[in-house]
Amino acid sequence: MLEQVDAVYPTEARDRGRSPVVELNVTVLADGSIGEVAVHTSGGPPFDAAAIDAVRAWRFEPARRGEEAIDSRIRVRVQFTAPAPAPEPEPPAPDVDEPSPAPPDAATPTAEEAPIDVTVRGERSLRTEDRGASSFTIDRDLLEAAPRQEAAEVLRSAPGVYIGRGEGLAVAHHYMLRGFDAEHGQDIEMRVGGLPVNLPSHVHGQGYADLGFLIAETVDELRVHEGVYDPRQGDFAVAGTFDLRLGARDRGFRIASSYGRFNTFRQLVMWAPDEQPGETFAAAQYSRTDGFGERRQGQSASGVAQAMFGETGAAWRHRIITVMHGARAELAGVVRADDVEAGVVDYYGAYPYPTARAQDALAGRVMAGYFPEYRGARGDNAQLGVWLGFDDFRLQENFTGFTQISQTLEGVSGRGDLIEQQNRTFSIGAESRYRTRPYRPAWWAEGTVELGFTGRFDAISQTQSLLDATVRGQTWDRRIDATIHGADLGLYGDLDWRFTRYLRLRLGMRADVLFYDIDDRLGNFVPLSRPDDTFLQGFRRDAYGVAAGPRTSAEVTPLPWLSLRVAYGEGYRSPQARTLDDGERAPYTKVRSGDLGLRLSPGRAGLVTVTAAGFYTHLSDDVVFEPREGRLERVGATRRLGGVLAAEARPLSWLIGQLSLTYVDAALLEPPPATAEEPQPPFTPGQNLPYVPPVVVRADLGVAGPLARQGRPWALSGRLGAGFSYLSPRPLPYGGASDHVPLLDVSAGLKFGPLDLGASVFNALNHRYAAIEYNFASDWDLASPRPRTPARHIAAGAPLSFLITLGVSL
Amino acid sequence: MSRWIALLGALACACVDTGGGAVAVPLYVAGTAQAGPIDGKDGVTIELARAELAFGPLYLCAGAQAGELCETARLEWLESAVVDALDDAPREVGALTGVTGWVRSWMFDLGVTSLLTRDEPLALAAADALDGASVALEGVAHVGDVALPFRAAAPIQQEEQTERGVPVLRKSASEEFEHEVTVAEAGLLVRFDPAPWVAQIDFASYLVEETCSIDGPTIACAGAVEQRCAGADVEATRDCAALDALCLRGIGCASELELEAGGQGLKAIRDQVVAGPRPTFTWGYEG
Repeated sequence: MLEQVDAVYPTEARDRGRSPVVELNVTVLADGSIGEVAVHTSGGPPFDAAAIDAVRAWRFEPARRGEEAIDSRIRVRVQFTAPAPAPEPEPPAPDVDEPSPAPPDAATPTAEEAPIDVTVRGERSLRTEDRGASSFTIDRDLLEAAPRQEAAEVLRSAPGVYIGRGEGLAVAHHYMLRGFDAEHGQDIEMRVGGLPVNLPSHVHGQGYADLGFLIAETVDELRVHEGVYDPRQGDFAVAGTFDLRLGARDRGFRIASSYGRFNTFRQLVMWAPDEQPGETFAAAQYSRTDGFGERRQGQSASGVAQAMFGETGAAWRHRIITVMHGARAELAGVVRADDVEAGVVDYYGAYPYPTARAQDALAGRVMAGYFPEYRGARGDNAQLGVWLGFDDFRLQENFTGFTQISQTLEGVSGRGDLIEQQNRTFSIGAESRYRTRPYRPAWWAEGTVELGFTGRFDAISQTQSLLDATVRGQTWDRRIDATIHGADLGLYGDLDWRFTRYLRLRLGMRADVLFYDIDDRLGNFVPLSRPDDTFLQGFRRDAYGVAAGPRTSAEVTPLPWLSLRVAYGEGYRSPQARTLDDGERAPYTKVRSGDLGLRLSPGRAGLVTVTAAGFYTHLSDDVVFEPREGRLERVGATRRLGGVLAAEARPLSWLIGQLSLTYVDAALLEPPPATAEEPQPPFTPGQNLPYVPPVVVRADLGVAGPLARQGRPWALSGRLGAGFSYLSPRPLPYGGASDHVPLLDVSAGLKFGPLDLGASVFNALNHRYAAIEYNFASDWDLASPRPRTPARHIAAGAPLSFLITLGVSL
Repeated sequence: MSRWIALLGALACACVDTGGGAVAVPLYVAGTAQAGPIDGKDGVTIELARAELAFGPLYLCAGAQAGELCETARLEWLESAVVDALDDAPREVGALTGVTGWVRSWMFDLGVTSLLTRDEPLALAAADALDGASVALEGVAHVGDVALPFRAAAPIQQEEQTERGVPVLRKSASEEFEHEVTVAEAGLLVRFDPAPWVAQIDFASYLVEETCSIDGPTIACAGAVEQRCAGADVEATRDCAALDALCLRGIGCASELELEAGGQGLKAIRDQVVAGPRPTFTWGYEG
């Protein structure tokens, strides 16, 4: 730093005696002057203004790439220290004629004498996760631009991503990522605050990942790595990885209440201590809604707390995170489109039968983790982590009406296909990695080596039954009763080397060993075909396999603002353990992913970034949703070929926007052939993969800034935001396609001192759309012959709704 | 904005291969005009004056075997219609709906369908029109020089407990039936021939001459004289000829034979309808 001006402690705040920290994102221009300044962690309006005023006067030695000065973005932390109270004047000593010392100039208290430390991030992060061209980091400014009904909807801002809720508050979202209909998460590795979210071998879907516990105000940054090019990416990183970093920008205490259409209510309480790092916070939220139609009532509660210990720049820092979540919701289930057209059932309604009225779900989850990190003085670094979690899930859902016949009770049928699924998973895991200091064997070569380890153990118990809702949930068939113990041990190595300023190569390799021990208590059961006394039910088996593959990428930077990237990687997805045979040696899905693209960042740092990339992904064995059993089934090899075009711009300090378009051609290569049991398989070779939208568009726009002079305790600021998602029609099994989904959300807000008032409108076009859409045979008419041909079924998405929020930040 | 969204959707839709498509195929039914008397059992000839069948629902399946293995059908027609099995002229009764692709088997019910959700079968409109029957037959059987008018009305429904919810008539494994249904499919004609339905009825057994005996029926016919029996003893007699009627074994004086439930006549009809010669399926019929 060449010039530094101290921040002035705001006069109007001195009576409150606060010592907040303000963190600013600052663009240092190539000439060393200051460009854009944005608040990353607020200390309150007067402190923010004081910090910004001071930092604008600073001058830096610019960052350099080689010999060339370049723009850079840094994060500046300004620590304010409350002025000491003015000392009580001593009563004059009658015998001493000396004057009393003058009190401090109370009118101009200053920030702490040397409180300002500067932390430069990004250019020297612990490790580079940005490998292929389709890696995106979305910061809070963009995440906050558009309104979100739920925190997980921040994912929509990533190119090629769409998420929706088709099964209520207590069942995981439906995720889509560049050609993958990941259902509840089987194709996307998800981490929140370092905690792995996916649950292996979950009864409702492999890799089940419920982000319902997220609290929007605590999501600080979203990193989306599309493809599998980083050896750190593990199980379920098939389409890519969502990595959400948590933190609290606004420090202090915040309480906010929201109320909106459909009697929706949300209460937030959040605390982020002033003097602590941005990662430290505790937040809790409760939400409830009557829902937008029949049987859509639900409520949920979440608590997330994270603490970072250790000074910025210290060798060791320690982070602890805990998450608790519970939710229960009624489900409307799916309805047949032809019944909706015939007026038999309302689009937002549910069938009148008890088996449909008994659909609901319960979810509960507890997670905790400890993540220390080390930063060596010579650039070496390490991260460790241990975590554990417990997840409880119970679902009652009827997709097909009245088509099931009991496999265990002779002559029992038609009591309603109300599937009950229960899944309990206890997980424990550990991870560690070490990256060496940079080696420089020649002037033109510099690089590091990283070695890492990940491991997890899961104990899973799961059941699936059919219930008769007319007889207090009486069980009339059993389909699954199993206990699974599984482990995944992964080792990886990663070389990250730069050759001159133009070329950077990353060569990695990862190998995972997967173990499974399955006690399938209904295994070997042949329904009604053999006398009971010739065998005992049950099929115990174990399996293991090794999933190994390279993770490589190359980056060419012919110009400082132009980056050309190519990447190739091989990943895996662990199997649904119940599908394994004894001794199976390759129990996983192999994914091969390639990516080729470029990234342009012309102008000053952060002004605009344009990404264009093409990608290809091949899966050895894919899965899709099977409504008859309410779970995922294998469909053979698949491939995706597509491209993404994305642009993000911050042309003005108060304006941010992004636009992305993803196109993909996803095809089934080898669907299972027809068999006697399945003579009419729903898929044909070469057809487009069902449920995958070929086109996904996303746009975000945010405007935020002061409306009256800053620096006063009751400063007025405002914001406007909009988000638009578009899904093209999705192919469905047995032919046909779903309708397209265009969704526009808009919001506006005012902040006046500690008070803020906001209004958000979701689905502002009031477009009637299906959150999920399937094609299968069902029978929901008790007075007519049974339909057997595939029919479109929909679970309605929410119509236009609004939410008004009133908050107080202290 | 909605115009742009629609355009975007149309462009995206245009390049999607969904692997199949919805299709509606007109369904026609017809009978078979009888050129002359039908040859029945033991030299009996039969003239049919009425042969009506309650037909539907109909399912066409992708697998070679319909039934429980046809959980998901390719095409279906969930209505029902009364087929005049003596009328050669095809009649459109509706449309099969479903998806394109190969069909290799069929199954259907006769106006009375078995549902998983109820113990008793469901009678559809066609069966209601036949007073709850699946088949209604009227005609005259010529047994020697005796002309025996007859009438039959039989409900035919799923009786196998293990096959509840499955239609009663299914293509046999050995039968050839294979066709690829396309969106350009003109129509399907299902033609029934009632002759086999009556060919196995033992009409002569109703005209057997006998007198009361220990092992005999409770009503015997000694020529045209009805005898009401109590073992080998005759309790009462009646001259049917005087009543302008026939004496039918086990029935007595009657102007026509009404085949009763549980009797061999209705059983013969059921067996022939369910397991006898099958209707013919003709693709490409254009009405």
